[in-house]
Amino acid sequence: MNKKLQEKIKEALSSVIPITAIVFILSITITPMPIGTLMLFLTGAVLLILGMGFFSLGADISMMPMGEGIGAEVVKSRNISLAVISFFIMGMLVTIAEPDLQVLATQVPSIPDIAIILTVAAGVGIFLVLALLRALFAIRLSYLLIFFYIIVFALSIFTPGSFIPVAFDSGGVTTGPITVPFIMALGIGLASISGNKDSQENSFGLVALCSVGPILAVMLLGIFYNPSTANYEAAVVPNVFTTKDVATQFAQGFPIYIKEVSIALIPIAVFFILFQLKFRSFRKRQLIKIGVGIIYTFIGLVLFLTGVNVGFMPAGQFLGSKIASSSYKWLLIPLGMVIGYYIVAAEPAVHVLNKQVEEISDGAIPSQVMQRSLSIGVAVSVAIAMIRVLTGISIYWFLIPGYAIALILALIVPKIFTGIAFDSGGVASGPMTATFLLPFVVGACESVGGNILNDAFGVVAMVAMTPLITIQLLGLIYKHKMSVANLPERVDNIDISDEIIDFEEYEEEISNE
Amino acid sequence: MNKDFCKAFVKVIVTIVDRGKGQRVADIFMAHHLHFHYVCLGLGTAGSEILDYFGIGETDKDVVFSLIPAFKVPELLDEIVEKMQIKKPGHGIAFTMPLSGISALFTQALMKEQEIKKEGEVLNMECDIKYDLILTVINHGYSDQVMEAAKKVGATGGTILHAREIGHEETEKFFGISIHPEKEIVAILVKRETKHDIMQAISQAAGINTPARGLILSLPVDNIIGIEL
Repeated sequence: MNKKLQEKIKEALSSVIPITAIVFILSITITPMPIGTLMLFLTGAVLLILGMGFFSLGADISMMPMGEGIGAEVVKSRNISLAVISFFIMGMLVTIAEPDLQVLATQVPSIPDIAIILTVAAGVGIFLVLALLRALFAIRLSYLLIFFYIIVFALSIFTPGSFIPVAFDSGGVTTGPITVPFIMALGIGLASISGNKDSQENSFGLVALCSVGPILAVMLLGIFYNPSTANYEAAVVPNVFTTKDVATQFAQGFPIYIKEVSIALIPIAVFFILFQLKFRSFRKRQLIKIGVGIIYTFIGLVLFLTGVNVGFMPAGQFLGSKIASSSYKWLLIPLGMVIGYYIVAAEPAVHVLNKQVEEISDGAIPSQVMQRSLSIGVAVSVAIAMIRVLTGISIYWFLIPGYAIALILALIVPKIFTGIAFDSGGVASGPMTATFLLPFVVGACESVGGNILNDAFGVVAMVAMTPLITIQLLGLIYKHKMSVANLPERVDNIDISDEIIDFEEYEEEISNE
Repeated sequence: MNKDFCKAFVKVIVTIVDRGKGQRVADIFMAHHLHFHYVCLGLGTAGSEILDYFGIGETDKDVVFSLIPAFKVPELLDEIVEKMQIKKPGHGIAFTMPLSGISALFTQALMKEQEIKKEGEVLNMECDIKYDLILTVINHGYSDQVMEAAKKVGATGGTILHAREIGHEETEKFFGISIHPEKEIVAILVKRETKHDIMQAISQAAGINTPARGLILSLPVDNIIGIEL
């Protein structure tokens, strides 16, 4: 069989099957699940596998080349105003189109949806421009991050309390499966033609800065509107009894997500066409490939989002509430960790990130190592979320030390790891987190009678925060190993000086003898 | 032809295998106390245009460069064939190239752990150069043009490496970024007899007078495993 296809199938299977197996085992042991919910879940898993395969192939041959092409061309044009304007517009467009943002907007009913969407989009646009300027003026990413996170925490003092989890969540959700590969590729394109010694580091960090924008935007909105509450509408778990009901559920799901994915993909495609018309940097064969890739991405995301929303959401909520209402509530923590560990592999943008990291680091940071660090990070974050659900501890107790550690690490670890780590925060918190993990935690929170807005929300924020620490710790280990490996090798018994042997002369000498 | 070259007692062996398997190649050499390996990432070119359009043409590769004593070549090649299952098509290729010089200390370090049975063995390696490695350095994004042209005159496949042009007389600057054009290097293994035709064809399709701005050169290769040429 074709090798690339084989590799993609393997990748899709290995990312979806573990989490499916765990839920299945839970359903036949401690949390007996209605057969309808299980059917939905298993059908969803099949869609997820297919969707993941198509998406990652599509991202490889369309999103990445498009982003890289635009990023490189913008630098090559050496026109600062063009660069700034196009980055701002791109940041706005991809954010407005992000389906998760619409969901976020409806969660805060006291503020008009359009106000939220435009503010967050402008936030992303501005920060994308900042990321561009950072690369151009060679400002160290960690300084910028420290600066902006201090502002974030300062602002949070004035922000109504119920807004804090939503604000931090928004940083994670607005960087979704379409924006992440595209924005990441922009950075790689930017860095690809720059010959500076930090060009490797400059490849990452765009998503990182873009995640700060929405946090600030939502906080500012919270301060200005000072609404009494944000709101959460629990997802309605559908009643599914027969196999036909299952089919109906999915049949109803498809049109919704076809529309969502089209809305999200169109702005990028249009921007790319305009760009191609101006610069003509791609040739026919590459354009055909990109076209095919966009179709793949479309098919992949529709399958994935339908599968995860229709199939995984009810299962997540059911599991959460069932375990929480049982007599062994504490199981939420270890089970949450196991689920968290495996769920991040099923996050579509994660593979794109891992592959790029491997590629840019010339194989020094293999994708499996990235995967494991992310998994550990998310496992910890779900554990924290569950502790919060069970105890009602304020999110600040985790956010402040978490970010403090992440920012201190940013000053110590090799620069490239800071970029990768803060990028992966946005990457790890994608649709899988929003549609499986969040309902899982919400379900648990409902059962123990907690405050959903204060206790359950914030899980996305946690998922976006812990990788900052684990990936940077990976960087620390890496740095340590490198320093050991680079110890000067002693050459014992030097009986020849370090000359150059010329093989041709050597030959002549021998034959002369 | 170039008999002197062949007698070089340290050779470069280049092994191209699927992404992630480079470490296994290095392990094989390490077992022989050979400790100098350098890996870079490459891309195997598409088998056909159609596969390429569907995005399943190119495969990720590890390209491993190792330095080994010449007298070990046959033994190590056999071992790579066996352990990496390189005889099956598509499981990778390996080839060796002679060197014309090397630092002495380095050679000493390389040879230190090797048992040399008899002095003559080191030098009197029979070999003649039957193959060539054609390298084409082109502007980013033109590798398919190179491959297309090369395949028409008998090349079987190639590997793409990414590179950047440096040392431009006046490097263009854009604020803090100095702009270095992105390049691709396409490496194609060919038989010595077909070398000229293939280089000629690449030159026509992607040479210095085309938008690809291709620079084409070839290096001698003495042993090949993994592909039939």
